[in-house]
Amino acid sequence: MNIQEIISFLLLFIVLCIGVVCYSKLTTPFRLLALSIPATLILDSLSKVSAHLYKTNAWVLHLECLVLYVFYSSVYYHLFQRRTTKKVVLVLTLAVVVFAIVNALFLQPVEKKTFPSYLYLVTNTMLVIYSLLLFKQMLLYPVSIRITSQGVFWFNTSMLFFSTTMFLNLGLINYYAKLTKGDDAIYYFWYGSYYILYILTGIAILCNYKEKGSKYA
Amino acid sequence: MPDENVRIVVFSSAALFAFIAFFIIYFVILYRNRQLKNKKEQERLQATFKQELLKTQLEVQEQTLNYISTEIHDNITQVLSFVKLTLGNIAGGVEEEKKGKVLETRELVAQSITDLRDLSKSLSFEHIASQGLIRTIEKEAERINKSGLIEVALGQEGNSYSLGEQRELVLFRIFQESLNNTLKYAEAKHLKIMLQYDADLFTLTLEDDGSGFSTETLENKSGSGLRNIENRAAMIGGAATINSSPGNGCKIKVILNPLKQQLY
Repeated sequence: MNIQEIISFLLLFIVLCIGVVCYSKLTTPFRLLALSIPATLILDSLSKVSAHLYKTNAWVLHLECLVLYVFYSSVYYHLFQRRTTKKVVLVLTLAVVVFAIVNALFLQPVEKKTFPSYLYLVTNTMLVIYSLLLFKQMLLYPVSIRITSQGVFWFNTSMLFFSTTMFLNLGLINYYAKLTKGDDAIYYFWYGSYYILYILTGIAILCNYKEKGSKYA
Repeated sequence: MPDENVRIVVFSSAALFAFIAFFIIYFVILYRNRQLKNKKEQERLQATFKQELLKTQLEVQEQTLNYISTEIHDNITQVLSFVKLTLGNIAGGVEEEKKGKVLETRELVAQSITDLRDLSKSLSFEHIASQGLIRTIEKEAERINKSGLIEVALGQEGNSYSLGEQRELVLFRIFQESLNNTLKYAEAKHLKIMLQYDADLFTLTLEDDGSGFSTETLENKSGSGLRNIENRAAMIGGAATINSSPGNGCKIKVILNPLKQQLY
């Protein structure tokens, strides 16, 4: 494991501890968010083991992308207030599950060790849309709590940030893989995005722990 | 080549970070403005609510005073005048007659004392707060039935719960306003009052069999008592519907979600 991976695991572990300590006092969406951390930790570990043993972690990446999308969209499902939006999130989640299976079998087959870029693009597009919709909802129904003390704000910021940076990552990674050998610039950016996601998730959980009872919580 | 690549990554990522940061800062400013606007609106609503509540209290008080004044004039004064006359005539009679008159006067005085005691416990907003809405409406229905002006039937569905002092006061005022309209203008013989207590909905219905009116008339009279009913219901987070047509009586329904958090 290189230093970036160690930092990544360390951050995940810290957020996991925060989630475990705060779990009982968290609201449903933030409990789901807290549960997504051990899932990420397990899948990341599996990814390393798989890469070491079978020289591929493609199947884990397929699975991880889907699992995390299901976690995040269920968080959004609970945070949205409009019934129609909730239904749309539910339907889209089912559609993404079907797409992930089709993608893993036919479009970017796991057996050919293909990186699931299509799935990443689809899920991140959805998350950006959800994030913007939640920002809109927050503006429509503001609560009296300071915005920086709201877990929902930090969670939504982390999703917007992570999903948009993933586009840049995915867009540049193949280009770099072709043109450079061992140039790590894009990987630093990739890991940087994950670090910020984990830090903001930790802040979101802590804020929700303190502000239970707010309208969105 | 690697240097150039690093430059591209650094530039694109910096641009993206800057864009997201700008978006978040813009959102925070916008959100803060919304919060301030909402706070001002809430303060305004609170002030309006307090004013309306005070007005409602004064109206209930005025109604109570009218009732007391009528009771004193039509009942107690009459009885006491009769007692005075009887006592004035007592001097020149036979002993047995005197005893009978004294007994009669005693009963009348006792009746007046009971009436005065009832009056002292009459309907004020403190009374509503201590007795609760349903008990207060029951008392009022008893009083109207006793007066013989109209036959009032009171019904209740579900287990009663408190709607909060302020909301019950406003609801009672709505009830009074509706009752006054029925007594003054409807020429009704019967009035049905129904209180329904569901877990997430409270309904107060008043239905008379009077002459009724066109609801279009209501649309044009913004200051009428019926318009007040609608405004007051809205003030406590409920809604009032008034259904009537000439010759078909009038039905006033107030619905309220007891769990709904109020702005005031």
